[in-house]
Amino acid sequence: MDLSEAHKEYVKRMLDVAKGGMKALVCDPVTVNILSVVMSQSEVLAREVFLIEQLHERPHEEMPHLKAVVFVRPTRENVRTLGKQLKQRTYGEYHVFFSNVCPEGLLQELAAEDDDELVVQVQEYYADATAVDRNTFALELGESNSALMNPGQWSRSVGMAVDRCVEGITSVLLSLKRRPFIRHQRSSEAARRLAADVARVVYEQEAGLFDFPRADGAAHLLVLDRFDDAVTPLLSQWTYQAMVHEIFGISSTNRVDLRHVKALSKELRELVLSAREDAFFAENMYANYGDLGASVKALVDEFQQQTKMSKKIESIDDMARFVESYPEFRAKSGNVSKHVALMSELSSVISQRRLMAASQVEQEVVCGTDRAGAFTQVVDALRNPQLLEEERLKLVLLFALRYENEQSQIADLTEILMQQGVSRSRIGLVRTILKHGGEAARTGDLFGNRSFLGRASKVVGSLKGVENVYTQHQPLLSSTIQSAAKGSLKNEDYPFVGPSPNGAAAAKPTELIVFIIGGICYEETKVCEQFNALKTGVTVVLGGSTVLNARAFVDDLRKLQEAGG
Amino acid sequence: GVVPRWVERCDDAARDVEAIRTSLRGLREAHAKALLPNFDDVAGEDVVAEALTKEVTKLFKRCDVAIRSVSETGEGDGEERVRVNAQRKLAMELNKLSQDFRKQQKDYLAKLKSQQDRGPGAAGLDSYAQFSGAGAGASAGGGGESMLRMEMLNRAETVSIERDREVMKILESVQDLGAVMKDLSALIIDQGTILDRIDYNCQEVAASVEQGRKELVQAEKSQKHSVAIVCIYILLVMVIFMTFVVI
Repeated sequence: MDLSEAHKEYVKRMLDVAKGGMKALVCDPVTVNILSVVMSQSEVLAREVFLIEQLHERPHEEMPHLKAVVFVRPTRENVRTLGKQLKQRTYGEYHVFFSNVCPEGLLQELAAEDDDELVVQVQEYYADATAVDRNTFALELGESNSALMNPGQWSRSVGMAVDRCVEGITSVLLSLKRRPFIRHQRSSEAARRLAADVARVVYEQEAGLFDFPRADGAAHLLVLDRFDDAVTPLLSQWTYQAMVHEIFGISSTNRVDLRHVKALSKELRELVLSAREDAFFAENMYANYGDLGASVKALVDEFQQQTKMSKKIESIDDMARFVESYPEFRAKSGNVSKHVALMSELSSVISQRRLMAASQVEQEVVCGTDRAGAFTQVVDALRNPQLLEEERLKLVLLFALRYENEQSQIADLTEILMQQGVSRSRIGLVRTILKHGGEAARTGDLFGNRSFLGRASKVVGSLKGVENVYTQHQPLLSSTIQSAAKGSLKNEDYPFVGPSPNGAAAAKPTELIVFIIGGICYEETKVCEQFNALKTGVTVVLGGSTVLNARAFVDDLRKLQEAGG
Repeated sequence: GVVPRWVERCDDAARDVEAIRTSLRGLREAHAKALLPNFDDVAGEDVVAEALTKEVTKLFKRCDVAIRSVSETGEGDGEERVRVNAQRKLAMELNKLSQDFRKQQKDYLAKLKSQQDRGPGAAGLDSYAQFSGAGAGASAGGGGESMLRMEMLNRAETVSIERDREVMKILESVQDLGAVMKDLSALIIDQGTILDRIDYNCQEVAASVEQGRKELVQAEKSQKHSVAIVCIYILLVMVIFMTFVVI
């Protein structure tokens, strides 16, 4: 099972059932992203889609010779707009595909507007979440992401955000054709609520839809809260995909915006980093900084070899060979310059912002066992004028999470920030993160110090020494999915909502769908992909309300603080 | 409704694309047959192949003209994007076919060459080398045998001259096609780039719609101050003035 492949199959089918003749693909602001990550412009062009636009009321010229393939979310607003367009007869015929379950009432509303019987078919194709990677999905909650993290304060926007998560998760379950056992992290009210809402849809509201023939094995849905591990989104990252997201940001549709780098040529200012379309990226997305440098160099060398060969055009035979390989040559040169540009931008930012120095201290704080040593290192780092305020604040947040009970040392650190002129509200984030992500709010053993075994392995680990000081950290999710895959997650920590599996066979999932409220990190998608690569018989699909980097996470913390959370 | 003219052009081009596809299939078969050992001296499949190559090149040229004319029948500006995309799709298909064609020709050339090295012609050359290498003594050998060798040599030469001509023809066709495809290549989107993204193109459409709306507003505004309006005002004033004068 591969989520993006399933989505792509849906899109192909949509375009195939409206076969023959020219088509317009009409989408909405959410579905356009769902489409973009699985299909390219040239792929839809090949299927005779000659116009792609967003559904809007503004009438444009009638195009009766085009068939409209409408792929939108089943919202009241969309159905109304579509109804108005039907009246204007913009297109010759309409094939309507909703990205999720469409309420009966909306269908009737649509039918009532279709006086000229332009609608040929209405279907539900369950693709209501963006398949960021093969086994990863995100919902792009944007502004409401922080509201979701604090369900203590109920508001309309929280309700809408929760609903959006329910819709996203259920569509993923439908496209995977699974009715899962549902469990959540005990300590999170948000997780409990979301799990209960999903269970209601799956076992009551749409019970018929989820009545799939029992396949061998069981699917489990595990709903977690970002605040169970507030450490991972704060750490500097050193693997390709995570690093690019941390430093420049990757959009939910795999785009990287480098428009601020004026030195780059026009075609390199906006890039696409997708494992689906870029073989080099697919191979190196989890490679660390050092290995990546070597891979990029090898890529350049290989390309140079080819260019040299192609420059030596002496005979007509050489020419023919070159002309024949030209399209590939051109595509390759674009790819090479993309990765070279990214690599050189990354390295210049890393050295300019002293990210390696900061990262070393971060890792020491999070993975080390020597509190006094960590404290001195953080103090030294705070006094390093070359570190940006962003990095310094992150260090204090991490120290506070790790050594929550050392009130006086935390106070010393915030005092230093204060003296450096960091604003009072920024410093207040230390309190916010402890309130939501501190020991009392957590379920998982974030620092591996609760059990004797955890502590022992940590000490042993520190004795053994580490291969790479910058990438010692393993996200909490890594141990959570391993326990879940073995069926050894404790019921009291991760209770089931709705039916719970009986018998040892059902307790071990064959598919594990993990959803993290508040967002996932690329360090976590890496862990999941690496787990899947082991082929243990359990496939992990990871989803989140968004894909976080440190900047976005700190921003969400700030919003939480402003909302009084 | 009435089908716009550019849609007809697209259909023409699509028909050509289909015809090229069929001819290429024919060409592949002809090549395969031409490479089989040919014992009777009848000029066979290579002639067929040559004719097909000519035909395909002609079709490529015609299709190129048809594709380009899609955007030249300028009617209904609102559909410009649709037209460009239709053009793009055809250009992509034609490009793919041209790559196939070139690859096919190249493969055929390679096989021809290896046959020339190792085939009957080459055998003739080899025996000639042996013959002359053996020196004067060989001429003393049986006359009948030497006659046979001479004939083989002659035949090998004709074959190789013929083949050279064929090779030149094929290279010409590849070059010809390169020139045709040069203009169309501007229409082809590089895969894996931002230009090949649905969301990017959607943004572009939205931006151009917005731009169009702004221009419309601007046009309305400037209409109010256009020379014609000013003239009308002046005339009005003059008419009123004249009426007063007459009274």
